[in-house]
Amino acid sequence: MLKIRKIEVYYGNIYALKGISLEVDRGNIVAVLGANGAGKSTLLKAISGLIFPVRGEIEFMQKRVNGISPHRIVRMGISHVPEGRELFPDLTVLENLMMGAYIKKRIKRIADDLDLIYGHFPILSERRSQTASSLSGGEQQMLAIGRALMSNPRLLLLDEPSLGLAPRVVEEIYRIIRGINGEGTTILLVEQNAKVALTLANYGYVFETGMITVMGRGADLLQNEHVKKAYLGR
Amino acid sequence: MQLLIEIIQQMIFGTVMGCIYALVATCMVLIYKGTGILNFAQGEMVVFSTFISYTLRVAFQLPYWVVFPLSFVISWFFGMLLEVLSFRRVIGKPHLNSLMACVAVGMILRNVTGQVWTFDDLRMPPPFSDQVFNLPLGLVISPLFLGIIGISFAIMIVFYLFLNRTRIGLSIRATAQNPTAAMLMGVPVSYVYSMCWAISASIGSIAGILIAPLLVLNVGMFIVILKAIVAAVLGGIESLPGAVMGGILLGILENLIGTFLPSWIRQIFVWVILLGVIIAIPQGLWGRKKQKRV
Amino acid sequence: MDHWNDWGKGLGWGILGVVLLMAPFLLGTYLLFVFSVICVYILVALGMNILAGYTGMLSLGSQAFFGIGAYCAAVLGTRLPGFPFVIALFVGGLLSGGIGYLLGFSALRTSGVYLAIATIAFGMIMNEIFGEWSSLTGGQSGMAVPLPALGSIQFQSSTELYYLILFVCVGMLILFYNLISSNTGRAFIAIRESEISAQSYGISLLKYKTLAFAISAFYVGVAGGLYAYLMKYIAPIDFRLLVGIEFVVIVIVGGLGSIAGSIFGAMILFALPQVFAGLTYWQEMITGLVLLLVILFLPEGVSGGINRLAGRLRITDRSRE
Repeated sequence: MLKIRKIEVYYGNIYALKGISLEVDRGNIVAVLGANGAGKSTLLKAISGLIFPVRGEIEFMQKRVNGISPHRIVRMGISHVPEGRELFPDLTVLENLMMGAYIKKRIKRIADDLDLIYGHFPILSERRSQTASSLSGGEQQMLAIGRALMSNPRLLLLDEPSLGLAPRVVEEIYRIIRGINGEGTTILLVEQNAKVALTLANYGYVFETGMITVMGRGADLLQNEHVKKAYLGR
Repeated sequence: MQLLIEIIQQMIFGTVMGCIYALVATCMVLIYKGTGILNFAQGEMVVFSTFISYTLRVAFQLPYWVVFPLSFVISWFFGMLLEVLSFRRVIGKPHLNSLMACVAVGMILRNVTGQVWTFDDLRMPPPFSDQVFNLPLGLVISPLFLGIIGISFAIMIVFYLFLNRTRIGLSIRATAQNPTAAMLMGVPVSYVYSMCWAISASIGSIAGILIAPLLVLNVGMFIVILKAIVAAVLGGIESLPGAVMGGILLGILENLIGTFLPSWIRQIFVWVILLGVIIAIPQGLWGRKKQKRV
Repeated sequence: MDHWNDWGKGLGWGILGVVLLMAPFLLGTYLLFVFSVICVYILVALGMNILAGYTGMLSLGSQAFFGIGAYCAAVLGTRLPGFPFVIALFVGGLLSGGIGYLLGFSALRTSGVYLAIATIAFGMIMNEIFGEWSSLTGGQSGMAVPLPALGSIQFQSSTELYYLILFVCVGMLILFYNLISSNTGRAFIAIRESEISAQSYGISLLKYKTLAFAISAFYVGVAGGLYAYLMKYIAPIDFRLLVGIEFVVIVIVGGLGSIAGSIFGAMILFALPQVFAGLTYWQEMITGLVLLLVILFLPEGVSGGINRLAGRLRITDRSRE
């Protein structure tokens, strides 16, 4: 579904991605792991159009995606939940979700999707008139994911969904992510918390300073010696 | 008793001026919230549009109910043009750049206005009768005053509804709070910026038509509009309701001070208020302290 | 290779020095006058650069200090005939510096755009005072400025005025260079780059921000005094907001944070109206256009643009973007 071929990306003056190639197959959950500064977030930004690669190609469903503005990429079916969530702080939960549906026109469809999201995240329905900044960390993460889902993406990009959240909350969010994937959304997931990510993912890549060092099936990576030592604390 | 009547009269005048300040302050706050630029050229933009309206009314003899919407539309495109030509390149750069860019555009605009029309004073025919009527208790009022107040409030209400009840308005508010996220939602952010400038210019043009008959239409009129900056800061530079309240408050205060103190104090009064607000309550009376990012 | 460079530099300065000293004999009266005015604006530019270029604070109220310096020279010369002009300049500078110091306190509470607005307000207030305090300043119609004096000696001809201004300018330039190279100068730059980091190095924002304002005001004040002597007549209109804007334009166009930039800016800003002489109505637009084009396409100003072309660094740190 998503094919990335040898992209080189600069983040400001920093050479962040040094010739990365990877693939995401339809229906899968793919995890990208690595330490801070390894280039994981940059990868997602390159896919969603916030940064343009200087070399290489990104193809989504056989259509070229690199070099296209973010607001057009959303319409192609890719939705990005950035690191730090990037909500609209003074808009209500409902308004945030409505912004997620910005590219959709049919009101009935939007209303149905809203119900779907409330089904995944009941707490959002309770808090629908509260401003986004008044929510707790876990609730904000749910809102961010829910908002991204409102555009019915085929591919969902998640940047560090567990960041700053308590373990129980992380569990719940990952449970929901599995559910979303079960409904047919392909997921590309960036995480520092390797254990949780690999338990969920079908396939994984390990980034180190802008290059891929290890890749393989989720289960295999969990057993990989290098991965175990560096990222699983064993 | 006489004093009380005088005060009420000044408050009436003040509310009239205040509505104008409120309109222009709203324009400035819209641009600031939407693009982060404090538009120092707002005054000159208003004056420019007003001269255009003058030509429509006096040279083409169009009736005011045509001039208002026509001027609105012309200014809409004018605002977009300005944004594309100059302000687009300045978004996201340090404040120094955008501030001086606005100043530069203002200077150019002011000069162009004087060259194309004149540097002298012009008398602008009022959109409503400026005949003065006597009320009981010795107060005076005029249809012009009521017209100004009425139209100002009408515009502000429509604008509020636009911003809070429409999809486009929501996208403007969202972009103002988080342009990156807005882009990820599919909002063409540069269109939003253009629209902020366009709306600002349009509303400003209406403000100009309302105020010019009351004062004199002149290239130097922008100084009056500059006071809208004070109103905006007073109300809170990030708060749209603050702009309205700030404007009216400023208008009333200015007039009250002017009645009881020598005129030169009234002149500096506005600036003293500005200094005071900036130093003591930088977020303005209706603003909040810097919000945290989520 | 290196000390050939030093020889080259020394020779260059030497030639420049000779040219400047011989100027009255090479140029006519009018051009000499233009030269003198440019020198005044160079001083202004130095002052503005301390704020905008080195410390990173924008002031649109410096025209007030220009006025204070000018009125000091005028009033002292009028009330106390024969009053030494050097002291008059100094008094103007100190008074400006003192008030500037106070204004600097407002920079502690505000920054960026808000600071700029605050300085505008300050400038407007001072301008109104210039106009209202008629007993001292002659009110809106202004006052005449007596010739700079030293006891019974008066400096009358353009040549004498020119040398006077040149003398003061060179002195202030040397002072400026020392200041920038000193710890104080480095503190200013540190504050511009990052206030938080500067504080963690023990740099007191209170001390240096107010100091920057004070020094800047001092320079502009002295420049104001010289301006008064040159123009021989001053009025509040000479110190209106537009003038303050032009001051900022000088340093932006010339390039922030460099001495060469100050010189370029002064030359450009003053040369332009001369080139378009007789088109006073156009002056505002041309200034605005130049400013706009520089901001849009050459954010580092002319000297920054030249830096980029030459690929070398100049006297001081890089210009602000």
